[in-house]
Amino acid sequence: MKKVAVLGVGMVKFGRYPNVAIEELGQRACWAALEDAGVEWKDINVAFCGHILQGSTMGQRVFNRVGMTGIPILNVENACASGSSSFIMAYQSVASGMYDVALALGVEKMSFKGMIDASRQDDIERPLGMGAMPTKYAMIARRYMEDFGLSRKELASVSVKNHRNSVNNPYSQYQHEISSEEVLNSRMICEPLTLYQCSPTGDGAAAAVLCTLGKARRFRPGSHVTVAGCAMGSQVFVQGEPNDISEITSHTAKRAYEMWGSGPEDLNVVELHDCFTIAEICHYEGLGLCGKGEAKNLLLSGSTEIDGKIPVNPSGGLLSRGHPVGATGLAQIAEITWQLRGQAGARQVKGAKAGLTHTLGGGGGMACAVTILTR
Amino acid sequence: MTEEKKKAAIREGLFYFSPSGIEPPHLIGSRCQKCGQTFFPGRIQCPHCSAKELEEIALSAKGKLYTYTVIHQAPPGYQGKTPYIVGKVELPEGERILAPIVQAEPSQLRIGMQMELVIGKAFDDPEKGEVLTYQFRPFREKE
Repeated sequence: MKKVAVLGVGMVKFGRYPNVAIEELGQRACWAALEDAGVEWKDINVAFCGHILQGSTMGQRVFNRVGMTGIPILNVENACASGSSSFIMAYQSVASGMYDVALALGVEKMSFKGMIDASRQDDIERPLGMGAMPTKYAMIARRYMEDFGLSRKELASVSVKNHRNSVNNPYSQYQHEISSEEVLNSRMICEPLTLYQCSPTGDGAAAAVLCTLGKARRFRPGSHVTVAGCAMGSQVFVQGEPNDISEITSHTAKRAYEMWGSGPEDLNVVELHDCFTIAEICHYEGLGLCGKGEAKNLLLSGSTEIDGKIPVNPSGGLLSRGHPVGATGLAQIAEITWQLRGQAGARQVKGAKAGLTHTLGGGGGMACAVTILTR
Repeated sequence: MTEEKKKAAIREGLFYFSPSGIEPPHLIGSRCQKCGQTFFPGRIQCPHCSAKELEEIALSAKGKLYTYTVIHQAPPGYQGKTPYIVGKVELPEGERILAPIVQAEPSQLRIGMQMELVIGKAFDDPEKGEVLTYQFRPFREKE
């Protein structure tokens, strides 16, 4: 297996673009990544496009605007882990030695769609209104609050933190602070999750260029961000809990840590899947940032602030940076890459050398993707 | 002459109920004959051990409220009034049933409380008539 460098990253600011075609958003993300990498479309040997809702051959519809060189193009769908899965496919293409330079794109346009329907059984869950994501996570929140004594205000503070972080992220959909009261008083979706505790719908695109480390050094001497570990995973059967979000996260992360040869204690920055406030809480534990039931303490101690021991979601996370579902995984890759290069501006985590990205998608089944980048 | 209103189950094979109410309803699930795991809805292959030897079983009609939520913003396709309550009831067999929670105010619900299965109306369908589904309500001892 060859060592793989993240040669370039780029994204468009997430938000609402009712009058811009998704193909153009994707094209702009490609331009940003290619320019950051210092390569041209003709240098790309294989390309992947992660998305959920955009229809057939979405990748081709974007890449055909950039260049038409006949390279293999694959479209990757893994619910909210589509973008990350696209990245890991690109990684595997280069690490295997089969391709030299790969591009991974994630795109999504959700302006015209509402809540993601996560129904496992359309004929039952859909008419009974039981299958949507906020419902699933609201029930996880209720149980967690009962088991570990987490209050509504403490839960809401995840959103306060991430919105505050995004003030310094020019690519974030929202870039303003919101108070605890504003979070708690925003419209109730599914108790206890209020509107500002749910990631927003939106449009966006992000991309990364990967190549072997040897080739990266020839393109540009000096140190490069490299993929130190990565893993994808699906559900292991858990009696009575088909949608357990912690078990899939921990077994996937475990394999990424093993590949890296280190553990969560050696991470300096994390971008994890805070689709809802409760998700961030659960994933602190799933990723091994703390022990079971200790997520509340980790959050309240300030450890996951940008100046804390293990900053989480310095970009603003899904809650504030936005969650155009297929694009999110690559926005996380871009953020960690910028953090490791010292290019994160006012949201820079000092001395970041090792960072982790984590996405978790769930529809009829679940997909998890974890990457560890180092420099 | 009064016409009996047409009724139909939301999906065949999920639950048994007698319209007259003589017998209490139960959910119909599967048990893997190799590893013993139970499933609802029923299956033809075990996702735990992949065995194809599964037997149909009647599941317990009572369980504990594992979690719940009150939904204020309904997702697309929902056919009912808002707000409404959805929860998971953990049966003694181990399976957690995702179901509407009915005949209860949110303030009456407690995690861990005993719940019992009822069959009730989900919505009206122009062709099928009254569509029935499995639901859970707080278990109340009969006086």
